[in-house]
Amino acid sequence: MLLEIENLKTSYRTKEGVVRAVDGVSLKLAKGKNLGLIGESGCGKTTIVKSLLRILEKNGQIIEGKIKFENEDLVKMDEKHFNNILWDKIALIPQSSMNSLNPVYKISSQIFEAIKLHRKDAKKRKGAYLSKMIEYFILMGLDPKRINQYPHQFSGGMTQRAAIAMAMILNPALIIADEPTTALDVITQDQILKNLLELREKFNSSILLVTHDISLVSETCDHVAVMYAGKLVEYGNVKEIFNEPLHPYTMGLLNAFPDIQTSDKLLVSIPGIPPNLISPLSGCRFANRCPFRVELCMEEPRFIRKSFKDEHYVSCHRVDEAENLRTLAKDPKIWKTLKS
Amino acid sequence: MENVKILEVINLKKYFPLKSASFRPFAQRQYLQALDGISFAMYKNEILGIAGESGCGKTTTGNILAGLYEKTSGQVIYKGKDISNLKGKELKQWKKDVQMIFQDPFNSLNPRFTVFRNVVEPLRIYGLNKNVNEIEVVSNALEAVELRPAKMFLYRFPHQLSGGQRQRVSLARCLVINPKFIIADEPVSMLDVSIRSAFLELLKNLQQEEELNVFYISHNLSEIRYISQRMVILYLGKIAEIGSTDQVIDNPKHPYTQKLISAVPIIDPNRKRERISIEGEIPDLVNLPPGCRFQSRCSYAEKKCFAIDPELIQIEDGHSVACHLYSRS
Repeated sequence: MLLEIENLKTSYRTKEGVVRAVDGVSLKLAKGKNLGLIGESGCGKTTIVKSLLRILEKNGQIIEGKIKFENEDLVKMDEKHFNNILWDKIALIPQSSMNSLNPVYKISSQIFEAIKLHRKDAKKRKGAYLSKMIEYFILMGLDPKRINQYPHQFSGGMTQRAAIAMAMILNPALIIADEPTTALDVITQDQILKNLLELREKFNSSILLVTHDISLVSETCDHVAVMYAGKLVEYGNVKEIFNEPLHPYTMGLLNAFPDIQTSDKLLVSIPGIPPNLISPLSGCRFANRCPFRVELCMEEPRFIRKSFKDEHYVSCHRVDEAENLRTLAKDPKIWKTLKS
Repeated sequence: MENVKILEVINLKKYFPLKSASFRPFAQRQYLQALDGISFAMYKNEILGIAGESGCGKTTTGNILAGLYEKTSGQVIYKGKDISNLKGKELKQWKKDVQMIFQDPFNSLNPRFTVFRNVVEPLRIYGLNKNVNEIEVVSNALEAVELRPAKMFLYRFPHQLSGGQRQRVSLARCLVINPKFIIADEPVSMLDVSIRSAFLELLKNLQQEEELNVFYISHNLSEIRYISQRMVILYLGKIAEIGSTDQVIDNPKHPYTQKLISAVPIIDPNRKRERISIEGEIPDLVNLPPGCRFQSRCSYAEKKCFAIDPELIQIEDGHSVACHLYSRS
């Protein structure tokens, strides 16, 4: 396993109380595979990324859990060692690259900066690294002539491409892409994803794709983890989850997504809002929005492995009736019966 | 669908003068051609979707219709009259008839007003019947957008509501003065997926019940497919294709539309999508080359496309496209 997150708990201290943004999440990502992390805003997906990269806000703290990267625990690792790994082995593609590139430096100097920090021979072999930069620029569909330009001379799509080239320059084993194409137009998004996937393939890296757009996950990932209110509700192979979801939230989410190919798909909507993560919670966190809740749901469900041919985990008490629930979940009326 | 034209836009143009250009002699001033001659009609009781990439002019069109921008030239004809010639009572009626829902539910409501005050504002501005019971009218509007019971919401402040609820308040604020048109500029793009469809559904139902006309602006083609009966594809300030939603999405004719549709990711992992690759850069809206605007990214571009700008040509009933591939020659 390249990345293994075990029972991660991260909280934020706020004036109103402690927000348990991530509450016991376990994930794994194998080398050369892509994992999609999906969920609504506030479900904790970005907090996982921040915990992983040690960029939590001042009031945020990892309470417990392990983040094992190549069998080393990132949580306990000392600063120096961690900084060595960062960028070299774990790279981040941010959502808004416009803000993540320094406006007063040329793109090439910024990329070279990252190389200098991690490669001792950077200065000696500057020429070789420059040609590598150019190669990556071409792979990302950028004009190599632009390498000495400043970020403001780039369009939004181009800065995102440059940010990806920069993230990939040291061939990291793990790429964390936090909503990498959300701010872009469809066509640009499509091209950039295509370039990114080709680049990933070439170096056998893994991507942790954090997004709210489930169709992106369906097309690019091998596994998917669905989060809800700080908890993981379902984890498994993309095909299995999209074809046979086991958790009612996943079912709802899939049925809420309009499909360009069909005009007659009935869309469902999940009434209500996720619970406040400050107040102590008991039972299943999705229960108040779940049309299939029963009394048992007042108790918290365990995260259990359901299918053995491929690891498919879910936390739902009614998982044995999943097939029946799936049919019911397609009907928007079922969801409307809920009063939140 | 009854084919009664309710609104007609003829050759609408909007040029924004560039700031740096204001010192230049008049003839040399540079303009950004946000909209360069678009014409379309809206029929009674329909949702018309407007799609395109950022910078294509979809929001500009909405803003001109809502009266937020002055147009540069062209006509917007409503009930047989050009809206820019309307004065006095007629102008007020038009403004009352057209209401807008903005993209950002967090910034489009006054944070210091209660829900009641936010929703009642247009009612007071348009000075409708003094004898109406404001609370009753507002409550009815809130119930119509499924904020039930309305009593619970009347005296809350926007910060106490979720994004979806706020967007419903925006919709209630439109509905309270019984508009004929609603211009919805990406109304769900900032909402979570799980509640988006509820808003779309609501808009769709209200449109049918109240016989509204909705001008639905979005970059998300799946959303447009779901909600609108007809749609327009804009590319850099020109209409590339217009037709019924089924015609445009199932049978796209313009090379741009084809690429746009092929770029939309598909949720079903069992279906493979055929990607049409697209090369080339988007031209600068200030110094547009002659000919078709899509020439630099089009794989079918030929000589003609670099010289003559294609006109919109009807290729089947209600389906028109602006591309030389379909011109009769």
